[in-house]
Amino acid sequence: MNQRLEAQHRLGGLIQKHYGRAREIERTREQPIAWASTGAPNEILWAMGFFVQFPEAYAATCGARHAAHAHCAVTEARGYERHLCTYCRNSIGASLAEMEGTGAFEPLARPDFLLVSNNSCILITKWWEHLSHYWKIPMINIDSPLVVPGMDRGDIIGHVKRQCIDLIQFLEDFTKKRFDHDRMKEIVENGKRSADGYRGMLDASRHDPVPASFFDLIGHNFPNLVLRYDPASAEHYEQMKTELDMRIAGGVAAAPGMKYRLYWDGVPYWFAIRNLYEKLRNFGMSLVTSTYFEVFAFENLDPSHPLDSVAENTAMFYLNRSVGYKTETTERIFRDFHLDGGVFAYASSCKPFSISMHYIADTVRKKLGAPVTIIEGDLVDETFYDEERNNTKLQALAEALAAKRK
Amino acid sequence: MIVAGLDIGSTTTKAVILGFGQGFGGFYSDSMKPTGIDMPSVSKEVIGEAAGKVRLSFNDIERIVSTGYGRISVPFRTREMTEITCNATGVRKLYPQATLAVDIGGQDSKVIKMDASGRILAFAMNDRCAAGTGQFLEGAARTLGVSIDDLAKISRESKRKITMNSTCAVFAQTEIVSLITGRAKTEDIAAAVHEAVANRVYGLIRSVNPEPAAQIVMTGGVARNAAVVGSLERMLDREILVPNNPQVVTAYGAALLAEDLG
Repeated sequence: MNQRLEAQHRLGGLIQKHYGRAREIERTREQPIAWASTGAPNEILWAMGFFVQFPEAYAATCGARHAAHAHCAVTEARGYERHLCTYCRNSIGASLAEMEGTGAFEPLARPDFLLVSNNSCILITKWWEHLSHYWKIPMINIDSPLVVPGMDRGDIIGHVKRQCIDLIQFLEDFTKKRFDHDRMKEIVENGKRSADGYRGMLDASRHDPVPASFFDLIGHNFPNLVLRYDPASAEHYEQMKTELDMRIAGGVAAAPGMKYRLYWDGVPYWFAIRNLYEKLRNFGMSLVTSTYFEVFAFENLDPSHPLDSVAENTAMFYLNRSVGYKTETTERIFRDFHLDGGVFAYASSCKPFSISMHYIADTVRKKLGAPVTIIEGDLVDETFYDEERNNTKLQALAEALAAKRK
Repeated sequence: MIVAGLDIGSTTTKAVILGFGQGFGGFYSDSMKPTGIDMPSVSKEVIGEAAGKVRLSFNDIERIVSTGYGRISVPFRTREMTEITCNATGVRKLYPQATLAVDIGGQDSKVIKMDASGRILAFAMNDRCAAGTGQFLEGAARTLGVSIDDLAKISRESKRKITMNSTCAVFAQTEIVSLITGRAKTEDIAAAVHEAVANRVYGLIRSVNPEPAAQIVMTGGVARNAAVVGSLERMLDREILVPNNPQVVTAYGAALLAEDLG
């Protein structure tokens, strides 16, 4: 954040263009609009000519812009209880506000179809079901069994692939269009290039000093999630990699003078990004990377096997992996990125993400001897954020890191 | 060298003054006052009072390490450090073998796990809920119409075990009222209240996976409450050590760290 990357300006342009186009399509109806979950086989939607929007990304934006509270209040007034996922509450609240004309914050373009996969969490299908009920439009859930030891990888991928074929048939009827295999191959090719570029961007953070911090990179999930069907996404990462490499060559640090390299676990507290950045910087700690980025990696795309690889991408979605896999990934990241300690961000309303947190934090602490702390807050609901205690915990982490270096 | 450790907690501000080095021979003094809203003023008063006990004044203090929630509110601090580091330092000075510190204050509770050399391995703090803190006990005492000091004494007379279902301090008040209405005896309710606090702290202790043979030291205002300490000892099946003046241990640790700043 100290040294602004050129890529930030370009990202702003990509986001603006995407949402501008959404508004235009909403008006002209030249393309059907789908709302999809992050881990769904969205290449199929793009290949079928859908314009795809992401309620989870929208919730993050609302959180960062301090707009989620108003949406959550709409949902609460309908009797949805406060401990439900706040992404869900934000999304349903914004939808209701939009339908009732009471006004939502920069609302998503109205959907024609909803696609979800239960590979990210247990609640998400219910969330989509409520969206389907309110918008009165069809939804399809792609069931993706949890990838735990003992399950056959091929069976899981096959199970998802069969549903992808069913989805294609449904969409052919829905759109009255034939599925275009060549277009699908092209989209998977673009996605693969984008995913490679995304990984290249993340890997630059192995360098010390880190050329771009976690806070600098966090928004750059957007192209690989929302625009990977478009070559513009890959181009963005390729240009960004050049910029990061130049920083590395020139010894430019994201924030000069940082003493400790930290790991972040969990979904960012979107409303507190700047607050946390400044807090950590004051303690000489730089957030370098996170397994959160793995959620947006989409690394299994293979243009030589478009549908199989899309099914594999869905089945092997990071959030659908076992606790053991996530723990090993976290340990590997600690080693590969030379991290000194970790901040584990417990999210009060996101139990599926938070449930493994204590286990992973404890394993990292014991096996790697890295000081860690678990702070408390939420994805977008600011009322769950425990600032005073979190300040103490972050300062205590800095003190533990200093004591370890003595 | 004369140094002070200042622990500005949510309910009480504590100061410890240490003198050491040539010409002093070494001395200790402490004092405490309710925190109130003007933290810098009360902090000055507390340090001044502790200094007065050894015929010194606030201006004689050469270094001050502040800690607690109000640690950054005092402009005259030399440095601020967290309660985690200060408490662990104080506990280890008093009990060099201690590897688990449990500190329960007015609005928070914390557990600190240390290795044999005193290095902090892990720590846990209560969440935003006041259950498992002094505030929970104060609320219960108020509802029962007894003083906080009498609450522990009364609970010794308990003959019948009652389990409190509420883990929230606010809901617990309602539950106590309903127990009173149901003609439960005050001593049994008091015992249940202590058990509820101990239960929450027990969960916090378990979350840091203490070594089975860890020497446990409890500090903070609630450590003066023998009923909570006793409940925790039963749950852990271990003896818990409590220093003579458990409320000032974190301030004592802060003073020791001030001494080290040189």
